[in-house]
Amino acid sequence: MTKKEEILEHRGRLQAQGGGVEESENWAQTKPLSVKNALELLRRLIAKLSLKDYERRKREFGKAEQFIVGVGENGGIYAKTSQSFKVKGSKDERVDIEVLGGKAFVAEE
Amino acid sequence: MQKFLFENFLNNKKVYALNEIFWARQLDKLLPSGSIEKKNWLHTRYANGKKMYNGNPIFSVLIKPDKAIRIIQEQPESDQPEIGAWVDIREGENGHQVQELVISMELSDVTRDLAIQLMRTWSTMRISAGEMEVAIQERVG
Repeated sequence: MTKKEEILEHRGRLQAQGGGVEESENWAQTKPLSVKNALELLRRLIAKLSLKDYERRKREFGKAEQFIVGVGENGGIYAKTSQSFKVKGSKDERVDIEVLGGKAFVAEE
Repeated sequence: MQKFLFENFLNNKKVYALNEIFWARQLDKLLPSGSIEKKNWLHTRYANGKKMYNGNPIFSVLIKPDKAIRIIQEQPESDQPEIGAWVDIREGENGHQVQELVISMELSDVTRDLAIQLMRTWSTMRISAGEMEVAIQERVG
């Protein structure tokens, strides 16, 4: 790894996709992302959506939040991790969590 | 009327384990010999070592040279067959790109058959991501 890659080892993204929606909030940093900051990214992702698209995924955003908090209570999680929460009754409308490098969702940064 | 399979997999670790084995065996039957790069390549344990028994995913596999399949199972609760699927471009294990078929479902005899059809198409045919999306639309809607 180059020095820059070593520095930004901890990375991933939160996404809202499907049904014509494609929005994301990414992170790439020197330390594992904390639960607190992950939930802030989730809030920022929600803010990018129309009210209609958020309402469609409200339950799934709740599940994503629950997952992040639960991981924090268990010491975090390592890459590669993928969680997808699909809207029931839809083909592919969903909220995704991807930990692509390093570790994420620790109690404190 | 559909029949749910491994219905209490989220509440019983033995049933969960049997459910995981079920998918591993299905993929072994479907995939050509030597084509599996790695099974269960995505983390399903927390950093403290505890396993996540949330079906998300219940199984994952990397297929040579650049494909993957991820299966997500949810708590069975719907009156109608509940299944959705999509193709994602994502990072594989070593940072290279893979095309991943993701199937999210409540597992029943009906959705099992649909999922197997999708996985067979994705894993055994020379099919692009766009063509797979068409196949998903035709089978799942």
